[in-house]
Amino acid sequence: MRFGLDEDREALRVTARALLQELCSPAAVRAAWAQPPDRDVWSALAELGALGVLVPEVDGGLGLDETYLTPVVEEAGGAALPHPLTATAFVAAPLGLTGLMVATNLGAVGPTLAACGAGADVFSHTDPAAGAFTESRGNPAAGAGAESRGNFAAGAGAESAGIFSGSDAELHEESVLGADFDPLVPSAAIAEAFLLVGEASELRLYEPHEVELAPVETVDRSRHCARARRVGAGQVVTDDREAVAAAFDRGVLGTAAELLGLSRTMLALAVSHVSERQQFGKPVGGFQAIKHHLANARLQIEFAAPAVLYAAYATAHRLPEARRDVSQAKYLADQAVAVTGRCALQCHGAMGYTVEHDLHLYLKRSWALRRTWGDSRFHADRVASALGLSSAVAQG
Amino acid sequence: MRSELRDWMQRNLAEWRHEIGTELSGDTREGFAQQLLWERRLHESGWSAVSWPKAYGGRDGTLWHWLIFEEEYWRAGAPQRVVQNGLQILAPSIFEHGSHDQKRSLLARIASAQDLWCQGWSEPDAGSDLASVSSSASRVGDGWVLNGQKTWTTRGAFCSHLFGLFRSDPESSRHRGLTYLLVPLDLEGIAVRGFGRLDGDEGFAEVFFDEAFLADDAVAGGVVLGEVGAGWQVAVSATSTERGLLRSPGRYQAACEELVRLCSQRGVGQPMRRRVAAVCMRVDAYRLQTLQTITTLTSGGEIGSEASLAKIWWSELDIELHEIALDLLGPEAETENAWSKGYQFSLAGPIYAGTNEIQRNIIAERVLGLPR
Repeated sequence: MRFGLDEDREALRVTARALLQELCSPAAVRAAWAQPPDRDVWSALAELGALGVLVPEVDGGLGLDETYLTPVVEEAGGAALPHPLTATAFVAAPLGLTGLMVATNLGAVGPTLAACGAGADVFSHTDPAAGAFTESRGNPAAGAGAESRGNFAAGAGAESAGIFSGSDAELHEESVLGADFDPLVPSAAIAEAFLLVGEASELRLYEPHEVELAPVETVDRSRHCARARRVGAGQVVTDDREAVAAAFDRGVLGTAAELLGLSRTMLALAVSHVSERQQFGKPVGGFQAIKHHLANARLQIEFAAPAVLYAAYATAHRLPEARRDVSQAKYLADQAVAVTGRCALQCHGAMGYTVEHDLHLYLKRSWALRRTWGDSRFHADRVASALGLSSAVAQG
Repeated sequence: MRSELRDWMQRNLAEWRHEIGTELSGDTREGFAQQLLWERRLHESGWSAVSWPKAYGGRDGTLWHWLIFEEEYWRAGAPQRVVQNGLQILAPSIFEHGSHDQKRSLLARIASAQDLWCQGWSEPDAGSDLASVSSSASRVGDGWVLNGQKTWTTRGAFCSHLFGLFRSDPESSRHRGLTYLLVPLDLEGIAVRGFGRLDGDEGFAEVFFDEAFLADDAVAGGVVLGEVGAGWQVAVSATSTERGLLRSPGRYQAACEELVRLCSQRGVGQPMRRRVAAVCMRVDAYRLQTLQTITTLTSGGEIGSEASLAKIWWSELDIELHEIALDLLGPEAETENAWSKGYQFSLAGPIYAGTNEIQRNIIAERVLGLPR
């Protein structure tokens, strides 16, 4: 028995890292803030085979599994790659969608799909068999009232049990996918195809001319998000609940890997900064308070990393508890990046609190990714369900 | 091996508990005696040190076997190992630095719980700053004369022997000039006084050395472990070998299962479910990180200062596990019970074996490379 990256996987990771260092430098990410990124790094990743790791060899892919792709995506995350690698390689490719740069709203919508949810007990106020969204959402973009914004937060995995008790009927009455509300689609400005969740929880593929994009200014400008309004019919990719859920879980896994990479990058930036920056006549990294901040960050990374790798293994081998493992990976990666991001910013002092320093490129990406593809609470709920913890008795 | 062990544990725990009546804490004199009976059972069936060579009372097992043993041991609800200081702190040093004679004469007696070892490292003025130990060993004739005081010695009042660091070169300071000595506690000039830990059990002791003469042959195989004056290296190196650095996730996995059971009995709300899920994830991350570490070690790699990461992780999650349980118990938490006992025990984790603050310094300086 062994648990860790073998030579082949490590080699693929190292190759990807070198490629990203060259073509996805901080300067390149910075440039992607000003305008949609060019395709150089994307083409190089395609040539490496990264986009088709999960695609069978007969279809032009590498025919490998998630344990190969995960380390590559971790590297891409660490470089804050401004292209939709998780959506394309983790989510779309195994659905047979290859050769296209794919943007998706599954990360935003997925947590509200019954099939992806934390378990029947959490979403018991809807009939999962209806195949519709289990919880309604308000429309924050349209300036909806406080009440419906509250519902939106709940839909994204907040204190659902508490908030929903007593208001189920009202929630049922609301439209499950308001025609006036379209969730965020990252990388919309550069995508060649759109994989969007339909009203019956099916996944549909839309060509760019079939969607109308309303760009949205996001904190991380390199995300190039838009709200995509469907103007064409698109094509059903799958309406199989399990397939949709599996696609969501692969997106979660990819995002966890990206967050792990972001954590490593921010820690490295902080370590390098505190080793050079001098105050009181010595490097600030020599002060115990700084050391302990960064040790805490390293600690979180140390224990999130094997969880991410194991989730890749469990997914690749279709283990029965894979969903739990994927949620655990995202949860721990969320924690790691939250701790690391705060520590890194603090340890950079005022020098990091500026858009002229590179740190913010990674920090802002981490803020976005922590809260998409299910946030920490959503994934903690899924793990709680897997542990058999019932919320049936209201106490605690 | 797993199923064999599972059966064995179930049968023998029941028999042992029937034999002793009420099970007491291993940190009391009576409880310690009870648990020696348990240790003897383990040893007779070859379970006391699964990863050791058969010649020394082990099973020739790999680290993977050790991991399985630990999982099953804790899952069965077996007691803490009262021999763990000998088994997990001294023995790795003997494997690494002991002479042939020392290995022959000492290891089997550790595995069989015939010799009961306590650790003599800390002193009243040398806690986190271990290198400032001042207990001395002066060379006189065919032995050493010991003076000074050790303290916070776990289960020292019930043990037969002490392994400790003594300053053998009076001119030396810090890490130099220390010698790792093996000391029978029944020598003239040695006094041991047990005292209450946080939970009130006599789990701590202080050991006074007043002109105690330690003959070179007071312990079969010799009383000096490693070279004279190289005690620091002997003590530290053991923590970076595979036998010394690993602490099994089994105990925490078992505690998680208990916690989930407690939740199921009581019924809990969403915030508590999330808290329990979160701590269970931290435990599983610890398990997975251990698998990674064992993989590294069994394929010839080394783990050094990274051990500090594990120590912080398990000690902090252990406290959280118990705090959750106490919160679930509510007003009942103040009773003397397994969780309140375990909570007090868990609070020692961030303090002993190098405080977590020291561990964070080690991580920052040796893993991250920050300036000293």
